[in-house]
Amino acid sequence: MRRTNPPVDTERSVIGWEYLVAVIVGVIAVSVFIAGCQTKASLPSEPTMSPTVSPGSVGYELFQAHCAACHGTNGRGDGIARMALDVAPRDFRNEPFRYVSTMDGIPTHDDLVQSIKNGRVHGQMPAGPWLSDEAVNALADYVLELNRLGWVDRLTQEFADDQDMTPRDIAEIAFERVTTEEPIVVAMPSPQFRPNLASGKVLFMESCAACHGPSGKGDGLDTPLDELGRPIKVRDLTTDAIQGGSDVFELYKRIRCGIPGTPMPAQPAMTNEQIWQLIFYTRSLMGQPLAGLER
Amino acid sequence: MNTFQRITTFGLFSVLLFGAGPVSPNAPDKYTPIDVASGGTIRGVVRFDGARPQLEQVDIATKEDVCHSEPVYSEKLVVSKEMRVQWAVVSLTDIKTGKAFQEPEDPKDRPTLDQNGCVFSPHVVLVGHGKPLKLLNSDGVLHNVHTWPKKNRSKNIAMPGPVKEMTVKFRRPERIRVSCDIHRWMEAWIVVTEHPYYAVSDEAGEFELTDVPPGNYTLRVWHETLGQFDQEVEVKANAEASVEFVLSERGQNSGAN
Repeated sequence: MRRTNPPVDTERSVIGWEYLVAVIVGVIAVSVFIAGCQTKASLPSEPTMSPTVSPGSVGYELFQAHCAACHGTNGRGDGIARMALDVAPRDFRNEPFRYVSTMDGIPTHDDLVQSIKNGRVHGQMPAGPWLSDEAVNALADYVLELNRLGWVDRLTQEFADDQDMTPRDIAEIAFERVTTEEPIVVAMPSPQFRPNLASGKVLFMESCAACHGPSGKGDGLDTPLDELGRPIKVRDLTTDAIQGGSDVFELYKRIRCGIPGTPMPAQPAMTNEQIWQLIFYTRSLMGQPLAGLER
Repeated sequence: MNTFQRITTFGLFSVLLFGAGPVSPNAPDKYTPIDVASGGTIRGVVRFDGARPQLEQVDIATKEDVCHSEPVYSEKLVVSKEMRVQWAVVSLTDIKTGKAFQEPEDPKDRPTLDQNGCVFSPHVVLVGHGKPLKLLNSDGVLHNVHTWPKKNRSKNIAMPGPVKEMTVKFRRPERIRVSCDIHRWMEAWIVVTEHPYYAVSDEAGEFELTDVPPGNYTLRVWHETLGQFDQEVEVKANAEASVEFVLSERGQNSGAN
C-alpha cells in the first residue's frame, strides 16, 4: 500500500529535537506492542484513526475540500449533495471500488489516481484536472485508507463473538482486503491477431449475452442487484456511455477483471486474443468500430 | 505540520507498520499435523426435531434448456423421511494436533464444486485452506461463481460454457457462501477448513471423523438454516465414539452422546 509522506519543512533542520522525541515515542509504542503480543493480551494493534485520515493530514483536508460534498465527511457516500444526484456516490467504507485492473477486485494506487483525475465521463463524478499529482496521490491513499477502516469496522462487528479472532487478525485481514496481489498487465494482441465480427459475436453470446442481452442492450437479467442488494443497471453496450471508459485499454480491464461489487465477473479463463475480439465486437456495438475489423 | 503532529504521526506509523507485518494465517499454535497412531473415530448423526419440512421447488427464471432438465429444489434445509438432516457441517473446534490433509493422488479426486443443471453440486463442499478446489461447469452455459467471503479476498469468476474446469484456492479458513448472479437460485457453501477433522452429513444425516488422536474435544455442528451448536466428545484409542445432534427450527440442540 502506498502512503504519501507528510511534506517536510525544508527550511528547518531535519533532525530536530521533535524527531528524537518521535523516535522515542515510536520505540515505546513498539515495545508496548511486543509486550502485548508476548502476554497474549488483546491489545488493539490498530489505532482507530491512522495518520492518513486524521484531521489535519493532507489527505483529510483535500478530501473535505474536493470530495466530501458528495462522498460525505467520513466517506460514507452521504454528502449533502447526494440528494441532487441520480446515483449514490461511492460509500468508501462499505463498498468495493468498481474500476480496477486486478484479479482480486482491489484497486491499485494508479486505478484510484485515474478515477480521481478523470472522474466518470458518463456518471456524475467530475474530473479533477486542477488537482496536482501530489494531491491526487494523497486522495488515492486517503480513500483506500477509508476502505480499510471500513473493513476493520465490519470485521470487528462480524467477529465480535469469535474468541479466535484477535484485533491483530482483523487488522491483517483488513490490510489484505485493500492490498492487491494480482494486478494485470494489459497485453496487446499478437501480430497474427485478426479482429473478426463473427468470432467476436460467438464470444459475446457465450460470455456476455446472459446479462447484457443478445443485442447488447443490457436487457439480459431481470433485476440485477449490486453486492449491497441495491438494483443496478446492466450497461447498454449499444451506447458508448461506458462508466469505466470506452477506450480499448479500459474495456480490456473491465472484461478481464470484472466490476467488483456488481454481478460482472472477472474472466480469468479468457485468452488475450479472445478479450481483444470482444473489445472489437463491443466497440462495433457502440457504433465506434475500431479500424481493421473484418465483417 | 506542528511538533505534536509530527510526534504522533511517527509514533502511530510505528505501530501501524508493526501491525501490518508478515501475515501468518496459520500460526503454528493453531494446528500442527502429526502421525496419528491409534486414533479413534467419531461417528454420528444429525437428527431433526419438529414437523418434516417439505422441499421447496425453485422457480427457474430462465429460458436456458439445461436449467430445466430436472426440477430444482432448494437445499437450504433437507430433511429425510427418517428425520435426518443433510448438509450439516461437523467439525472439531479445539483440536491442535492431528492428521495432515490428504492430497488426493489423482487431481480428479480433488474437492469439486460442479455447476450441473443450474445447481451447485454438492451444496456444501469442504476444502483445506490453501488447497485446490476444482470448479466445474457441466452445463455449457455461462455461470459466474460469486463468492461472499469475510476473511478471504472476494472472487467473482466467469465460467462461460466452453470453460469446463478451473481451480481456486482460499487461504484463510471460513465458511463462504457462493452464488451465481445469472441464475439467482443457485447457492452453495465452500467450507475452507483449518484441519481435516471436518465432515458434511450425508442424505442419511450421518457423518464420520476418523484418525482422531485420543482426547476430549468440542464437536461443533453448523447448518445454514438451523444454526450452530457444540457438544463435548471423548475419543478413546482405536475406539468409536457415537454422537447425536438434534436440531430444530426453534434453534435448539438437545444432542447427547
